[in-house]
Amino acid sequence: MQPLFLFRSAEFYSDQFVNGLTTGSIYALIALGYTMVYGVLQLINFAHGEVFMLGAFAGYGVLMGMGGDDLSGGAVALAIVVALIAAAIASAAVATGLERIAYRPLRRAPRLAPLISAIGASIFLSHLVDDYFLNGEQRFYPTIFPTGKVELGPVSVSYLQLFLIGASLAMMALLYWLVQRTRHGRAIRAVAESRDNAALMGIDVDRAIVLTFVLGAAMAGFAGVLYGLFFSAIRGSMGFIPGVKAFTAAVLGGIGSIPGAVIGGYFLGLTESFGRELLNEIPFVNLPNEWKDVVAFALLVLVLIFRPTGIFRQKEGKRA
Amino acid sequence: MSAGTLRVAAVGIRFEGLAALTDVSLEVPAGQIRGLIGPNGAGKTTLFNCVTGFYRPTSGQILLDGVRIDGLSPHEVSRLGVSRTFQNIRLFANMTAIENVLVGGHLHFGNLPSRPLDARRPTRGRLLAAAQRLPQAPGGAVAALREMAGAVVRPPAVRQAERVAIRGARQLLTAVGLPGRENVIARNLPYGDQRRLELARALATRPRLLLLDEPTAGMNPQESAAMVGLIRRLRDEFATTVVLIEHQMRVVMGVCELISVLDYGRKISEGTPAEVQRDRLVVEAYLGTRAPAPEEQDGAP
Repeated sequence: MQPLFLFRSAEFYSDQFVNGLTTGSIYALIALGYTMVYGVLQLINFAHGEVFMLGAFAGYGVLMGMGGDDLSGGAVALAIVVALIAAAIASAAVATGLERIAYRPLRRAPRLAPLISAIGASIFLSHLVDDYFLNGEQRFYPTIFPTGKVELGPVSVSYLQLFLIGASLAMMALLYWLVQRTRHGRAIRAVAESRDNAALMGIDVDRAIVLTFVLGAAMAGFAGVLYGLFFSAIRGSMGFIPGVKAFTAAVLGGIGSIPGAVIGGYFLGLTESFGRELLNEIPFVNLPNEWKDVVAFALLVLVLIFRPTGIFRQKEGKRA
Repeated sequence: MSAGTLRVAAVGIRFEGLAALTDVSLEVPAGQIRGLIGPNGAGKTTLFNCVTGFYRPTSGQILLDGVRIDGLSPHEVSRLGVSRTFQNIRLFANMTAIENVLVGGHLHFGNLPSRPLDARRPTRGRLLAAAQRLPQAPGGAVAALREMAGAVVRPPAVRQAERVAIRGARQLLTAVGLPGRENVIARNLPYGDQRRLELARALATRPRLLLLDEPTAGMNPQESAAMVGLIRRLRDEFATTVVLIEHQMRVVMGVCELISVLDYGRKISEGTPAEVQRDRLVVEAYLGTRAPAPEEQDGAP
């Protein structure tokens, strides 16, 4: 029997913290796609979880093609970089197709129509992979990442976790910089503020919208590979739960806000990680791991009821 | 860009049976400041919306320097050199002043691969046209991605282009009288400054033709007078044609070289300010037809 939650070791807290940051990184990366697309189109792209899933499979294909479990040494680093890039490209291509086929024709339709179209696309893609390509089986990422951990006092972080968190932060910083500081980023923000006005400035609105999907999808593709490296098992339906959680994270941070999605992602990751342990404090009940999902979705419900604009209400100026 | 001759030829537009514009023709020579006046609902803003591509006229043609622009989408019209401001200011409220101007200069950032702008897309056979453009589409995406990659790696050319864009934006802010306000979020600017910023943003697209929708709305006489001076100066400095909608007669008479009057979607008069002021039709349009009243004297001021 472990001691009560409040009286556990420093190692316990730091482990939970690192775990929270790990899942939080993945949520944050995915949440960016939700929030950016919402920012320009006021659309919840519910097929975004599947964009993430297909990124994971693209990365898997690259890693297996480059040698799978036989990879070692510098080849591992190269393979992972190639896998990340391939996943970003594959996800971006899928998202571009979705935008063209499932959303653009419905842009002037009532808001419910593209939402339903998104859910349809989501179901289609996950079943296409699960039932058509994999016959319900899973695939497993090769375990090629160097094992070992960094120990710093009570804190111990595996190399993989360190890489995952670091890479995620770097990509998010890159995205933020692209959106804030480049011409195309400015075009996206202009379209998010006013589509008509942006067009008047000579901005091709359709192109800016596609670019928004591409950038969000690239982040989801990265997340897919990182997820595969960390959790190993991938399948067609793998995008659903992380997708809904990332959506929760985006709502937590105030949907439409890029920094909000990042903060919301980490907040959700940490809350889940600690919340699950808190739930285990309930006497005489042994709750399975899946109860962390309950924590996440309870949070979503509470936020939607009490702070529908997000718990970290953003300054307007920070919107996507 | 130079020139900027606007020709509106017999333009009409109907909204479900309501004729908002009927057979309107205008010819604005390059470099002129033209006033567009008329009572509320006369169709002035509708005409602006037709020229900028937000509405597609149901009949007639609109030509800029002899090239048809009706039926093009707003961003294409903008690329051909038409820019406008709005009666109710429409800035990117959450961006800084300089960012607003930089968005306006979107197209002129660095050395963009300038796509040839073929004038009019066929209104029919759009599927065919789309199919023809399809091979270029990946090229466009690749170009955009390459540019974003450039934005990340920041080779000297990109940095140079950024510097040029920012310098240009600062110059524009100075030109409209907003030096040093570049990092203020647009919605925090005072009302008059927002109007000036909207002008700077419109000029950043390097227009040949600038459409101003009530540039002095909500201004006091001194501010209006300053705006009139600014419009005239900007027209000279940026060599652009100006068409402006205005309700304040003092402004119209002061700045416009020629005035066109719309009423119920038709052009009822055109001439110099003095001529238009004397036109019976114009007076009636504004004041209504008067029943002859015996005690009124002709020629009363």
